[in-house]
Amino acid sequence: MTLENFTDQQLTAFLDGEADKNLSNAIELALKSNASLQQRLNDLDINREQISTSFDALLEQAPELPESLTTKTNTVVNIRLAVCASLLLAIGFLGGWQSQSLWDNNDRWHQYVAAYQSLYIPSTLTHIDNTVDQQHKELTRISLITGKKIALESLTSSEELVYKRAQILGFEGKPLAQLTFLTESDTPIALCIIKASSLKNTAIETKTIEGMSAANWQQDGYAYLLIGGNDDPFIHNAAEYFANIL
Amino acid sequence: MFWKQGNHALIKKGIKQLFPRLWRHCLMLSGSPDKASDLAQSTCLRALEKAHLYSNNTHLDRWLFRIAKNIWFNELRAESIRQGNSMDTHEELNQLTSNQNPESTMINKDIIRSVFSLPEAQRITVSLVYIEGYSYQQAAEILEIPTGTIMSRLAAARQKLSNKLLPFKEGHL
Repeated sequence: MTLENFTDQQLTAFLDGEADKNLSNAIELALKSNASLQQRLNDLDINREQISTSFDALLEQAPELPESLTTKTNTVVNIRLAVCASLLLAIGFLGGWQSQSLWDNNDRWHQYVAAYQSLYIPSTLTHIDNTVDQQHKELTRISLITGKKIALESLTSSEELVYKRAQILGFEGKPLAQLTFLTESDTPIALCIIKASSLKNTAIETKTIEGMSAANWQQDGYAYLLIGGNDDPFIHNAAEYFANIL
Repeated sequence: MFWKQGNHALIKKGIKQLFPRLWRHCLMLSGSPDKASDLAQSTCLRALEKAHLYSNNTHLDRWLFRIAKNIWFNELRAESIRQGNSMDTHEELNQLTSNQNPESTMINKDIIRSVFSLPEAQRITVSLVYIEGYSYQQAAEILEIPTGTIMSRLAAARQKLSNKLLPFKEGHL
């Protein structure tokens, strides 16, 4: 192998210890008799250790791991862990799963939804740009699965919420529709709908779950939870809007 | 069973250890500390969504790095470019290195600035091989490109860095 045959890529591989034995031997042999090859290697030389050390200093600048992603053994965090296990699964996966009761009241699904919603950040939704046709298809599928007819126009007629997408999630074997929106300030908001256990209608009730504003109500056999951000009046008004239109 | 119940716990445990490195990788991808935080969090969320794909043979760090790369290039990069990337600003670099002692801060700033001045593809490849310590093959798998492309990117990056970092070469410090 002559000097001219060594490419910069080969010399780089040699410097990085990634060259195979034949190439390494050839370069080492050539170095004994050719000073210009040594110069080429010098021109490609860098101090890898110093680069690595400099960038290791950046590790100290990394933010704290978000609470929702920690593995602490307290109940709330375990609930969040359960959220990812339950809500992110497609319908039917949990059909035969009998969970142990973590709460003994009817708001249990609110906690699961809230924990899932707490993982949402603006960039979870900002990139979604479905066509009207795709949105119609998505809602038709969800209406068929949940039995709740949802018209696209009812989700897109608000001036303060930009509709992004619909997903089918599952809660203890029941289909759960999750409709997501972004506010003007890119705050993720979710409207979740699940079949209610009774036909009783209830008024809109606002509360705070997982540090987020939430509003829940029950209407015509379905239970609703609107959640996201920290603006209680906004969530209440939006809940009234959806209660009237859906 | 469709879903391996233990995967979430394994992933969460691994994420806790790997999060600073994941954030740094996201910083190298996005060029902005704020975007890196969002990207790292999105990556963790996506990994948990895809927990059923995780197996005992999966290298969690490489898997997370690949997910971050895919989210960045497929979903966020175009938007970031529209907004204008900001890592060139001295202020953000100063903030990132402000907690170190003055002497090492100067060296680190020069080196960090030199690496960030590389073209995007070279910067990300340098990060995986020279900062994270992956082999050519491992870096190629993370970036889903041929090993030859890794070699050519590193050769080009070495030429640029060699000049800029002359004072920091072996034997000069």
